[in-house]
Amino acid sequence: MKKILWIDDDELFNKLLGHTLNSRFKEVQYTNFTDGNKALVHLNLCLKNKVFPNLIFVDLNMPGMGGIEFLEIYDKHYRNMAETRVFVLTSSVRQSELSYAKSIPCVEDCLTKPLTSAKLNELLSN
Amino acid sequence: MSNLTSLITRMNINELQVKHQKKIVKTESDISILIVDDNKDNLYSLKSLLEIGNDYRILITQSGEECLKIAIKEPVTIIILDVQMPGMDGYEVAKILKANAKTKKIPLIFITAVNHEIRYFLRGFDAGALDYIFKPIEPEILKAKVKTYISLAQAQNALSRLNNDLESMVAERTRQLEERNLELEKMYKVLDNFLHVTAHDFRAPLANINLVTELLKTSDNKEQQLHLIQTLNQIATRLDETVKGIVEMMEVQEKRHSPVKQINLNEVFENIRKEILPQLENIDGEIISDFSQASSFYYIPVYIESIFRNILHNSLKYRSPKRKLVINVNANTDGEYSVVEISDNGIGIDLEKYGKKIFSPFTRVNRSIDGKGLGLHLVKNMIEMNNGRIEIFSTPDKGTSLKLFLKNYSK
Repeated sequence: MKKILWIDDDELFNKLLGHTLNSRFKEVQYTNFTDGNKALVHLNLCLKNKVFPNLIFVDLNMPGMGGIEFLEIYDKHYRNMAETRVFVLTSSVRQSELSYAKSIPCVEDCLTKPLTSAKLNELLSN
Repeated sequence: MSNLTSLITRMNINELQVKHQKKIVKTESDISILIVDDNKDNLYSLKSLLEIGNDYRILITQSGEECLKIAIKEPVTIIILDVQMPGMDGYEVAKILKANAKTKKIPLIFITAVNHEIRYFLRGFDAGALDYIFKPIEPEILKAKVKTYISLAQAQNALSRLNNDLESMVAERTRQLEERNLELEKMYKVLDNFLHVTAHDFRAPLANINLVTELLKTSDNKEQQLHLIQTLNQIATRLDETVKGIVEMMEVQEKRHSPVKQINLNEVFENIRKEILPQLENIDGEIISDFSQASSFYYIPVYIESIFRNILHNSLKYRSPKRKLVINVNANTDGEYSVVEISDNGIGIDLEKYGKKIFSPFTRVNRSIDGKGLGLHLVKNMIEMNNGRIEIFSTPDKGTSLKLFLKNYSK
């Protein structure tokens, strides 16, 4: 069973993505958080249980710990722990922000919303 | 000598009278001639000769040292200097005059006897003399030369004044342009940031609309479809709010050039209080205001009103359900700032979590409460646009306090 974790402060988006996963990707387990701090706590638990998510999506603009900060911490402490693929998933179109995020080694790519079922399918089947 | 005295006796009596009358009307001339000669008789003859028919201010001295002192202290247009003098002679005086920045531009005319060798005269020109007048003095030649050199000096002065004016004008203009440039750069950054934040705030709901429609397309559950349509409705409302917010921000920018007026804080605040009174009474809230320490100052009235309105609306919106809303307002003066403090006992903000973001546009701390997320951003913008600043203090579940430093406009 594939596992997805995502961090986004847009509650509506979280609800909708959950909805999509529930109805279309019944074999996927998911967890989501509205800021980086809570996600890190969860990742520590994953580390203890040695069960990591297959995919992580991170939004960039969030109150509290933002996406970049989360990614930098993740890159330092968790990148080598598992085969997790990490993506930025945002509505931001600011190039400087996106290319900075992309330069963090753990980030595989920057995806812009919306995250379509087709794209999800592609990411999950790889 | 004899020439001079004879000239004075030959003088037209009318000329003297005219001169005398002029002296009464106008005591100060802007042309000053300094005559230096060790011989007192020569000195006074030259003085009267030049005074006749001219509006010159004549300064005289018998010594070179005294000449230097006067030239530094007084605005001297031209110096007529005897070459042979006991003590400091004409050459030495000329050298010192030419070495001093304040006196080096004053034209010099030497007086000397005609019977000298050429190298004697050359020495004078080297020392900085413009010309020679020979003894015995020919009055008409003296007057003509003095007149010519004075107009030359005046033309030169006018030119250098013009030059100075021009230079300071250019410097002032450059300074203004640099200032404007900085302002534009600041504005550009604000706009750039605003544009990206706005783009984000449009793209996020649009992306959600996409997700909803994708789900709708394949959903065969009636109840779920209804729920998704309601969601679309919510998103539309939010987008509408965002557009309204943008219009509001544009309006604030447009008010930039409104006239500055004397502000009576108490009066302005009372007007806004009246505006929100129905809402306040509805929730049994209370506003305690004290403007006894505030003095009247100059500001753009629409901004003060808008600042008060936005802050009070925030206090109403983010009140705590656990207690009766109390808003405290007071004001005092701190140098060139009028300081207004507005505190409430609402739900407060976790500043550690939100930090500076609290002032960013479309930041809504509590998404369960409707809002455009623009209030504080607008308030900060308006205050900073008018060269002031804002400080925020807040404790979650205790309340929020804003300290506004409004920079007074000069009348």
